[in-house]
Amino acid sequence: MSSPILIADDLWDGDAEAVITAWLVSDGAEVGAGELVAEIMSEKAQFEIEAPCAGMLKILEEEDAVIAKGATIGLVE
Amino acid sequence: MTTIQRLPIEAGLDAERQLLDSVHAGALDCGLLFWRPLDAALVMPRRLSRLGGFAAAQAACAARGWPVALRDTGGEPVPQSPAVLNLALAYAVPTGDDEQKRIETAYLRLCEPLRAWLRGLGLDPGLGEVDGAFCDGRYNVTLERRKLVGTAQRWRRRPSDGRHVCLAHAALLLEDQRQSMVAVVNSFYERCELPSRCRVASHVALDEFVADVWQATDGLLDCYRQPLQAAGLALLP
Repeated sequence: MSSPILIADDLWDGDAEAVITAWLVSDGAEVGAGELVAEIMSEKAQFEIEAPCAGMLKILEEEDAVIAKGATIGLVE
Repeated sequence: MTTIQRLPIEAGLDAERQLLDSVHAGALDCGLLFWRPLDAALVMPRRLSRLGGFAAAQAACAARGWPVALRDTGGEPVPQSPAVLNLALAYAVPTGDDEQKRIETAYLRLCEPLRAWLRGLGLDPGLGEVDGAFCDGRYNVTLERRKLVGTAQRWRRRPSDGRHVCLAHAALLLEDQRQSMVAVVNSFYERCELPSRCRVASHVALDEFVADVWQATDGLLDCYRQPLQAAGLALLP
């Protein structure tokens, strides 16, 4: 069973895309629920992305990947 | 009276993070921090240290008097030094705000008091992108179409009430260190074979217009109180 790390639709205004600027936890590492795992940036605004639950992080989109709202950038397994 | 903390760069960045943490934890709804670096460094995201040429670039920057300081967050290389006044505004988005415009609102909440302060000094500040400026963005505060203030934001959601929490940051160039700053940023880009370049003429420092710039900051805090209060964001005395 895994939970997606989703980029919420209401994170920023408009339809602009964002870039994953940093993964703060390594692929395969254990994370806690609510732990800061990644940061994304859209138009000089940075957004903190938290783990939806505790488990092992699986990164689906690497740093510098361009993503849209609603994207799944990783999983917590 | 504006109290400006003198801090090493690392401590200043920590203080900003702590301010955001306090609002995120619900300890306060709004806070404002002014700090001025004690040292100089070219601050950049840790991921840039993985670039080919980084070690040589780092050594070259240090030789120019700008050691590289890595941060865990994203963005572009930014020079920090005692010539810069940093301003960090953190708040939980008031319930009366339009959620669809909260990013623009946060930039205006940061920049408009700055512009009011500059107008009080007899200047005519603008807002917008500046071609050739380092770390360019739509919400630079400008003088004569040159970049005086760079801005950025950081957002979290507060789990206790679901409200978005913002840290809006401004870096004001008070003393003219443009030559050295632009040179070190370009040197870094060049040695890492990155295409970006910036220009001295795209930047401006306040001391090109105002005689005693640090004394002039005395009125800055007062420019924030009323607009924040009107938005339901009270600053502690």
